[in-house]
Amino acid sequence: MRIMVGAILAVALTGCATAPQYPTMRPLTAAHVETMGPTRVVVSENNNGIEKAWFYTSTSGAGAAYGLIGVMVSAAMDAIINYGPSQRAQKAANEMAEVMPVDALNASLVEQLRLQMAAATTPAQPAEATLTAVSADASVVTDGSAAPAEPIVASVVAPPPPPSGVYYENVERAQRLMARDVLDDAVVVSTSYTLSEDSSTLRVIANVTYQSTATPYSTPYTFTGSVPRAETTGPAYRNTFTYYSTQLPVPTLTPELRERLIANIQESARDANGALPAEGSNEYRSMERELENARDDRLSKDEIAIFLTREWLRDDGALLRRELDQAHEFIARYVVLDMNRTVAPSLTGSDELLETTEDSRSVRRVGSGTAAGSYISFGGNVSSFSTYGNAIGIARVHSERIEQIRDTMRAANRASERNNR
Amino acid sequence: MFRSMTTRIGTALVAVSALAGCVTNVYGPISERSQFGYADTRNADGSYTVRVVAASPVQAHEYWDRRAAELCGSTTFRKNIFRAEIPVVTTSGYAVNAYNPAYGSSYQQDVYGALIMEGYLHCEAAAAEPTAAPAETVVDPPPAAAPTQP
Repeated sequence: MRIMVGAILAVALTGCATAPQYPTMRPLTAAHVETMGPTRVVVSENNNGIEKAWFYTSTSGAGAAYGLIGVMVSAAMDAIINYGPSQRAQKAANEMAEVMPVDALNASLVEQLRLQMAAATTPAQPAEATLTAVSADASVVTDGSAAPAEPIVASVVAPPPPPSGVYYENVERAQRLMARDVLDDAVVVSTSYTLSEDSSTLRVIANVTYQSTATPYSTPYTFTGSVPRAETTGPAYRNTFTYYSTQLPVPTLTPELRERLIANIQESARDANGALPAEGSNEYRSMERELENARDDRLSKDEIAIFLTREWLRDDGALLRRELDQAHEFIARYVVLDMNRTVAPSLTGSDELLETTEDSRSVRRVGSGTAAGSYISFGGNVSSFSTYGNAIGIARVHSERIEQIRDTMRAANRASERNNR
Repeated sequence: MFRSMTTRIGTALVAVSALAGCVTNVYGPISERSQFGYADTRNADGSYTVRVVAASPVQAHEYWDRRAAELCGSTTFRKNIFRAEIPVVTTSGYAVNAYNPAYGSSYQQDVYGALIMEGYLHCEAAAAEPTAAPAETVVDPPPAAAPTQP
């Protein structure tokens, strides 16, 4: 009977996740927009750099039937299975960091936000008027269901009107890794950069918040019963902006490619002195497993990544830089657009196609579910299925930098506490 | 007698609970009863956004093209796939102890979920009336899929 009770609980619990009652996105109200006007933007510095997604395989399901022994065996198996993929993800992240360190990433985002700010506040070139038109147009959009399907960004030749609604006043950078405080009256932009498991696509996600003691959040939704605690506090504005790069074509397996793959696996397995792992070690078993997989007739996502990561690095990362600039431009443009839009998203609305460009890229606003109201910029003509795994590899140089920042912050906090005594 | 009865009830409960989460995979609109299939919306420019959820890449393309043909009334259409994704989902299970069936343990593990493919459909000729149920009849989107239908 105990088995039955356990099994019933396990099956039942899988469906126990509480159904979300409201979208994550929080729009500003018209009153907020009126009072905010020019607002400073703080770029919360990215510290992970470009992460490399990979899939951590767990054999806990198979080991669960064998008690403690099963747990130990599955842990050992997991170590062998995951060693190669984790090393390769780390290697890819290291290579990406050489071309695009976090400072360059953060600088690129700041630059695009400044360009957006300049376009909105300087009535000069017609080309710059385009971006101002977005801001001005956005301030009058009040009904999401009536949003136009044609491109929102329309070229205008006339000098732009003075900025209205919310617009960027200045752009700053801040290290927020250990920050516990909330930045008052500032639009805070934090980003993450992830290469898909096969390295075919770069995903950039920006989380944007605005919080001010002068304009506290008030939920636009009505709830049966009490308002959830999470809906009573926090930022007055919150949204997510996701950019997917144009997808790189996946290579076809040829005998020459297979040889290169095998050489790469052996190279990755070598230690700092260039020696292959000792026979019998976990690292050796992992390498043997990887080599066995490499000799079969199919390319796994992990194996494809070995080749496609190099495509991103070619010509000093020209492709990578171009995609990052586009991603940051999309974020800078749509954040100000969205902050001037006061429509509360619904769990049951419909997606909207906002913009389509000549290269088949499109920008969509999600219409339903908890992600309703968020923006996604998709590359066109996608040919293979992408996955973003359940684990990430971070470049060693960035991990060390994070540790260094933590140490510095802890020391500063301790010194501050001593001074306060 | 009592033990046998409770065991049978327990078995039935497990079966019912497990089956409650089962979904069929036949071509048709995505619904409460079918996680797999298609959902589509018409865009303001006359094109469609078609989303399919399938078990394999081949099936995803097959479903997409089939729905496109239904919407356009012919196989003459342009497509621009903008999303092809395999989300990772966390599953839970319960394993009976192999040495002592009176015990067992629950576990969680990540697996790849159903494939989601979404794209724009432009019918080359004038769009015909859809021959199958339109996306408006969709009752509930699958949990792993992005919400696109009204």
